[in-house]
Amino acid sequence: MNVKEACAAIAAARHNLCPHSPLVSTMSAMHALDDLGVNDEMRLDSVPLMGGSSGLGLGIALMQPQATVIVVDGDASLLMELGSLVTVASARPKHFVHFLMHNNTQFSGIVNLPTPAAEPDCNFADMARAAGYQHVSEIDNLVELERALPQLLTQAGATFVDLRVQTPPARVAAQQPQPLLPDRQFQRMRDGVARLRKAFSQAPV
Amino acid sequence: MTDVYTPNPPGGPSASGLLSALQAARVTHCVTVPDFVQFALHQRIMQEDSGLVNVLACTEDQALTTATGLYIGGGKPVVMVQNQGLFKCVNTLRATCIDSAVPMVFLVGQFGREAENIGRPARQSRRSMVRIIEPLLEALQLRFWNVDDEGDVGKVAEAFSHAATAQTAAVVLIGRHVTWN
Repeated sequence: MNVKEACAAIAAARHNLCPHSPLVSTMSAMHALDDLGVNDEMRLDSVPLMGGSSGLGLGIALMQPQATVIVVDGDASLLMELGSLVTVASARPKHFVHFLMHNNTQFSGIVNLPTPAAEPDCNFADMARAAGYQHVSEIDNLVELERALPQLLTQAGATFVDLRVQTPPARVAAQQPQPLLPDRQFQRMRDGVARLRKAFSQAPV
Repeated sequence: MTDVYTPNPPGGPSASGLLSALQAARVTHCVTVPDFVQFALHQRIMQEDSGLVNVLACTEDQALTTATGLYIGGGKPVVMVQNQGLFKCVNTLRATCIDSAVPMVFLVGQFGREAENIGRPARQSRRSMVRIIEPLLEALQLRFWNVDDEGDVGKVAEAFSHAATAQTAAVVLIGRHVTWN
């Protein structure tokens, strides 16, 4: 299972089960969701802000407890705010689903540098369980993910899903150096904040 | 160097005064990593009749992202931390309040302010965490208000007004220990 396949499964289940759910993503998942054309008003990207997606999702979940908030995090990002597992569990959100794209790689698909959690292999699921998430699962294949998604997106409480995903080939190297980043990378979080806040303000009470 | 604690001289804003200012601003949530200077306000906010929901975060970065999510969802949170915490979360502050135009009021305790500095500009403190907070905020192009005594509590309303108008962060620097009345 690669990141794009996992994101496609999550997006399809969201579309079918809870199409108006806030969707907060970062890094590889953000780009995969872009490629999949998931670009609705309920989407928010934590960028450039590694480690911020679970906090953003938590705040939304606390203020909008009827909504299922979906966070698609990366392992390098979560490592930057690992204590956010405790912050989330402590706040007891009503419907909060925290997916983790886990491949022990930073700048995944770009240059593929190892995270500090690569060796020894860090068990994020155990950490989420110990932090107090009510539901924790580990999934390493697409069939199992697709089968589990209806329950993952509809159960109450804080859910953590450790998705073991493949690391894509690096596309940057000496013969193909990284490009400069486009303006959109620095504007999309601002646009998402305004769009999502407006959507909530216009939602029927 | 001796390990002598200096008695806190009389003065400082009151917990009830600050809470009233937050209630008047219709604050819904206080998202916090606890602050030594604001113990009394922490305790007052945690009482059920405060009207505010208290949200605990492990780091100031998480406090700010959670508060940003609350704002997105239609809430009006305040972030309550100490000066060390503000130093810690500068990149998150850049991403949320500066780049993403999130209006947010911070209550920031001037932890570590020495007795000799009280009544003088904080930037003359001999302790770096007190001395450099105002220059840091100026470098970030953020406005701040000094609340050292009860007579300064009205500045909290100015901070809320500025945050809403300018769509950015507004920082209230609590320069004296909050009193327990």
